[in-house]
Amino acid sequence: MSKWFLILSFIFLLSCETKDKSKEISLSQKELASKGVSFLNISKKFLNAKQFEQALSMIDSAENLIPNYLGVYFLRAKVFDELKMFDLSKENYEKVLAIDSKYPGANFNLGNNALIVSKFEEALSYFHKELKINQTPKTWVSIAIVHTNLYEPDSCEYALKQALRIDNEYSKALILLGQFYKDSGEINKAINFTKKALDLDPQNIDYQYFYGSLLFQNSNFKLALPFLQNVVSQKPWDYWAYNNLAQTLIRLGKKDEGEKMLILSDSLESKNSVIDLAKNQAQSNPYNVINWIKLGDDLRSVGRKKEALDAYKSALFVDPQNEFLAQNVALFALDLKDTTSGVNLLEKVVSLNDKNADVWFNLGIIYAHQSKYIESKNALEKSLELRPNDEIILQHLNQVKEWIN
Amino acid sequence: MRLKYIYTIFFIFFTGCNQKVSLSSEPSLSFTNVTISSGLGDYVHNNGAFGKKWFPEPMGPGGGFIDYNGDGWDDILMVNHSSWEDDQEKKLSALRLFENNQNGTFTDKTIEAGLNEIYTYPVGICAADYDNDGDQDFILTTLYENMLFNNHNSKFNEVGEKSNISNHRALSTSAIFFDSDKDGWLDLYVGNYTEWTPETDVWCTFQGKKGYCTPEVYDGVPSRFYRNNRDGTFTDETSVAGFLPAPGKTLGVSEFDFNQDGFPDLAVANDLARDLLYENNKDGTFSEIGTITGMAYDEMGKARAGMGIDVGIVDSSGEPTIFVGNFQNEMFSVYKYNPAGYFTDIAAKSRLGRESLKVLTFGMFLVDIDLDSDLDLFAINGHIQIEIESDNNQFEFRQLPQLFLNDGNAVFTLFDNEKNNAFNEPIVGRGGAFADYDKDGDIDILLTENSGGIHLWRNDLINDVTPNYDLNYIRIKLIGDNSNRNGIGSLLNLYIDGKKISRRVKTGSSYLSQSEKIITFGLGELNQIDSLEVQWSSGKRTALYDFDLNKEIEILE
Repeated sequence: MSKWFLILSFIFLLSCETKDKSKEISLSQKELASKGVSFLNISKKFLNAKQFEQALSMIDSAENLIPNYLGVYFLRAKVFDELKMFDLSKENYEKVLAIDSKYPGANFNLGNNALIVSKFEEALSYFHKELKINQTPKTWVSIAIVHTNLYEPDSCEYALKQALRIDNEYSKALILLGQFYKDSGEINKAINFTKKALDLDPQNIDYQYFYGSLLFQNSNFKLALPFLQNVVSQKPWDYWAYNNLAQTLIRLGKKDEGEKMLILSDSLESKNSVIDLAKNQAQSNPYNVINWIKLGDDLRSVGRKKEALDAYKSALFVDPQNEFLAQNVALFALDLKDTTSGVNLLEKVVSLNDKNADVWFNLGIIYAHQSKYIESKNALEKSLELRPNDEIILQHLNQVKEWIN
Repeated sequence: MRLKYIYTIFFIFFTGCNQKVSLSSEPSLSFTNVTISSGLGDYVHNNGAFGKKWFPEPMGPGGGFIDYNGDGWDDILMVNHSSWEDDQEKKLSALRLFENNQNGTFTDKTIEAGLNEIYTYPVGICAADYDNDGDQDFILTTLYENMLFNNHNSKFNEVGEKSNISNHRALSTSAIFFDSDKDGWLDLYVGNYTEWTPETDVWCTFQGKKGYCTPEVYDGVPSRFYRNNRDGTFTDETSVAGFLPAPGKTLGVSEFDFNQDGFPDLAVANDLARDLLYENNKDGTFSEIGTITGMAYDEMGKARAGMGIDVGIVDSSGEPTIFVGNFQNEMFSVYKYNPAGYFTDIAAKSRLGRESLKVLTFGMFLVDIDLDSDLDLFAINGHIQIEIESDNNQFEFRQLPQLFLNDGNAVFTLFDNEKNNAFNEPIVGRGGAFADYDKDGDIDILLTENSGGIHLWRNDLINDVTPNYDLNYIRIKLIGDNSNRNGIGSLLNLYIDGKKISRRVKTGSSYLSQSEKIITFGLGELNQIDSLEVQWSSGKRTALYDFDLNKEIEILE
C-alpha cells in the first residue's frame, strides 16, 4: 500500500499528530495531499455538471500531487462510467482494487457497469465481492436486478428481502418488490409495497407513476387518475404515462379526452423509439461524437433538454476541439439557465478561437449579469476589437464602464 | 332444418408400441415425437439462405393440417423450399404434401396433388373451402404474389391470378379465411409484413457482422382484405372495408366475436407496431379500435413484437381473451375482454408473464390438450439470430416449446417438460398447429422449424388412461349449408355439469399455420352432456341433447 494512501486515508488523524519531526515531514505531505484532495473535490463538481474534460483535468492535477491515491483512480473511473467508456472505467477500478482489494464501492460500480452491458454473471460476481466488503441494501438491490435479467425470480425476491433486512425503509427495494409482485400477478401485494416506497419518497415521480399504473391495472381508475396526471405534467415527453392516463380517462368515460392523449402517446412513442436506438448506439460506441450529438438532438426534440445537454457534453468530451459544437452547447446550456456550464463552455470556445466576436459579446453580457463587470468589460472590448463598428457592442460596453465607475 | 349425425371411425384406446403405463389415478399427459416413424423424417425446410442474411429468411415456414382428399383423416401440408426470384435453378417445390395413411404414417403426395412445381418464396398457409364445393383449398402467402390453390378431386390448381388475390406483391405472412359479412362465402384477410426487396435490403449488424434486421428498419405494408364474389373470385376491398390505413408488420391474425353481436371481428398481431382490433360494423366494413380498447400496446404504451396469436374463452366469465406471442424479454400479451368495452392485460395475473419473458414466441394456439374442458396454451419458440447464444448467455437460438395448462380459470401452469422426451428438444420454432391426426380422441401437435424439420408430436393422453379413470371427449365437425361449408365463424356452446364451454370454428390463428377445424371438447371424467348448441355463422341455431361421447360427430346445418 502506498504512503500516499496512508497519508490521505488518515489525513484527519495525522493532523492530530504531535511528534515534531514527523510533523515537519507530514506537514509538507499534508499540504500536497490537501491540495490534491481539493482538486478532487473540484473535479467532483465538474463531474456533477457533466463537464468531463475539466473533471479529468482536475483528477490529473490531483494525481501529480498524490500519485497512487485510490481516490484519484476511483473518481476517474466514475467519470468514465458517466461517459459509458467502460473499458477505461474498468482499468481505473482495477487499479483501485489492486491497491486495496477491499475498497468499498469499486466492485459495486464494476458490477453496475457489467449489468448495463448485460454481462449478468460478471455483474453478479462483482456484487458478491462487494457484499463481502460492505453489506449494503443497494448492492442487494443490484443483485436482485441481475437475477431478474437471468429469469431467476426466487433469487430476485430473496435479494430484495435481504436489502430490506438491512434497511426496511430502503425505498428502492420496496419499489422493486412492488414490481416483482406485479410481474408475479400478485397485484395487491405489489400495491402495498409500492405504497410503502411512495410514502417514504412521496416526491419521486417514478414511484408516483408506478403506483398510478398499478392502481389502473387493479381497475382503481379514479384513484389512479391524479397520480398519472401528475406524471404527465412533470414528464410531458413520457408516452407511457400518456398511454396509461388515456386508458384511465377512457375507462372513466372521458373518451374524447382519452383519445387526444392516445394521439399524443402515439407520436411520442415513435420519437422515443428513436431515442432508445440513439442511446444504444451511444453506449455501444461512446467514442463516436456523432452518436452523442444524435442522442442529444433526439432528446431535445421531445423536450428532454437536461438529458440532451448531458449528451452534448459527452459529445464535447469526445471532440474537445470542436469549436462549433462547444459554442452551440454553450448557448443551449444558457437557454436552460445553466449559466455555469454556459460560461465555462463559452470560455472554452474563446480558448479555442479568440477571434469570435459573438462569443466574446455573449461572455461580456453574461459576466455583466453575474456582476463581474471587469470581466464583462474585457470581453466586450475584445468583441469590439474584432467588430469595431458594432453599435450594440459599443452601447453595452459603455453601460458596463458606467457601472464600473 | 336438417340434422344428421355421422359417426365416424374412432378409437377410444389407441394401442401402439409406445404405450406407457401410468401409476397415477389420473391420466398423465405425455407426447411422443413420431416424426421419423410417421414417415416425415426427410422433410427439411429450406429458407433460401446463402450467406447474405436477407430479411425474409428467418420467417418461415408455415404448415399444418388439411384433409385434402376428404377421407376424414388430416393430411399435412408444409411450406418447403424457398426460391428467390432470380434463382437460376429452381429444382424444389415451395410446398410438400403428406397424405395420412390412416395408420399413423404419412406418404408424400406432392406430385400427385399437383404441388411439385411451385417455385416461389413461400411463407405461410391457410386452408378452407372458399368455393363451397366440399373440399379444402388453401392460400400460400409468399414474398411475391400470393397463390391460391383450388382443390379439384384432390388435385390443386393455382388460381391466384384468376381469383384476383395475386393482385398485390408484398411480403405476406399469416392469412385467415372468415365470413366477414355472413353471406355464406369465405372472405380473406392476408397479413402483410414490411417493404423488402434484395435491392432495398438494409445492412444490419449483429456482433459486427451482417445480421437479420428487426422490422423497424423497413416500412410496414398494410394487410389486404378480399371479399368473396361467390364465383371463385375475390375483390380487393382493403380500403372500402376500412382496413386502411394500417401499420402493417402483421404476423398473426385471429377471428372472434368480442362484443357478441354475431359478426366476426379480427385481432391482428403486429411486429413492433401496435396490435389491431377490427370491429365488424355489420355492414361489410370494419373499424380499427385496438388502441382505444387497450389491446394495441403493452401496459406502458409500447408496441411489442407481436408474432403468433389466438383467441379463446379461457375462464368462466364467458368473455374472450386474446393471446399474442412476443419477443424475448416481453411478456405474452394476454388481453381479457371486459364487457364495459375494454381489454385488460392479465399476462402476469394468469401466471404466464414470467415464463414468457424467457422465450421468443412465434406460433401460439389454444387447445384443450389434456381434455379437461378448458383451453390450454401452446407456444412455439425460437430465436432469429443464430449468434445470439455467444452474445448473451441468457438467450438461446433454439428454444423449447412451452405448454401452459389452464386451471379452468385462466391461471396457467407450465407443463413439466423435463419428464417428456418430445419437449426436451429445443428447436428454432416457428409455426404450430394441432389436429387429432390419428383419430384417437386427443389432440396431436405439429411444429415447424426454420431451416429444420417437421416435428409431429403424438399426444398419448388417451393411451395413458388408467382403467379406473374415464376420460371423455366429444369432437364436432360442422358442415354448413346457409353458412359457409366449413362452418367457419360458428360458435359451439356445450352445456355440461352446470357450465358452458364455448368454442369457435375458425381458420387463421397461431403463425403461418393451419389447424384442424373440428372442435374437440374435453370433458374430463364427466360423462353426461346437458346439451350442445350450434350458433351457425348464418345465424341459425341448432340444439342437440342426447348423444354418445368419445366420438367424432358431423353436424350438418
